[in-house]
Amino acid sequence: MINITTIQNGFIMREQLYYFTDEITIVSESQCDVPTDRGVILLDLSCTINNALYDNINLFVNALTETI
Amino acid sequence: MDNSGFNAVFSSGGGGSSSSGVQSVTGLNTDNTDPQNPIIEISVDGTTITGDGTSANPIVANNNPRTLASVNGLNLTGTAYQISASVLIPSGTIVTNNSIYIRNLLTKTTGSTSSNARIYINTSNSLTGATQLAFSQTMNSTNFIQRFERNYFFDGTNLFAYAPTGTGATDLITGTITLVPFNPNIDNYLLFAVANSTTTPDNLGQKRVIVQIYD
Repeated sequence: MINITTIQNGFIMREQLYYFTDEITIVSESQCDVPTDRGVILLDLSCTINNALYDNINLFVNALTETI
Repeated sequence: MDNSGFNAVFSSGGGGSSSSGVQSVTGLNTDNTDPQNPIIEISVDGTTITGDGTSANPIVANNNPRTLASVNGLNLTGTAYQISASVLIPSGTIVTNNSIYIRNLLTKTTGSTSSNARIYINTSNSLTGATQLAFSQTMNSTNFIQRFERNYFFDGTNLFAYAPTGTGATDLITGTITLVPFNPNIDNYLLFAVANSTTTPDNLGQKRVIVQIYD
């Protein structure tokens, strides 16, 4: 399981820094496209955000972007 | 016994000559016991490679491009992106100024709505956290086949990617460029994903995925 740590305007995943470059798009009930400075990253509900697990993709996106 | 110039002719089929398989080997040194008489020519599948059989001029096949993989993906139903096929790029496979050529054949056997395919790259065999490299043309309820291809150039730091999130079957026309960070010194996976706009019956698959490396 991948944990994502949110930071100002971005996040840390697998010890790499990612900064948001555009709006996140929800592509299915469990997945979203996340445009970053390292390309568009596919994230899904299997990831935890700040060690919290989500079962709703809208809540997942809100948690991912709460520091913007 | 002087075996110089020996020319063994092989037949790969059941009776009679054939144009496929090993056709001839010139020289007899197959186990380094006869260094004065090295193999200097091999013909395989209609291609002949030659050399002096020395370290200065060894027999070397033309290995450009080389096929990294040719795999058959799964046709999948479902609205979330799933891996139809994946290809491991082992650590050390790609070096600076290489390019990667990918050709897929997308097919559906049934469907009533749209489907599309994507190519991702990741350091694990999983879509989670993967970086998008390509987006196919959307296939509607009657379009069941598409050739899907892309080229990527590696400059030592990044893969030069053609419009990763723009839909298109090929990169044969001009488009925007995205630099995708790539570490060639670790294992990477090319992930060939599909998704459909309804749960069933649409069943897109990346049926024949060919990945070639060009020097």
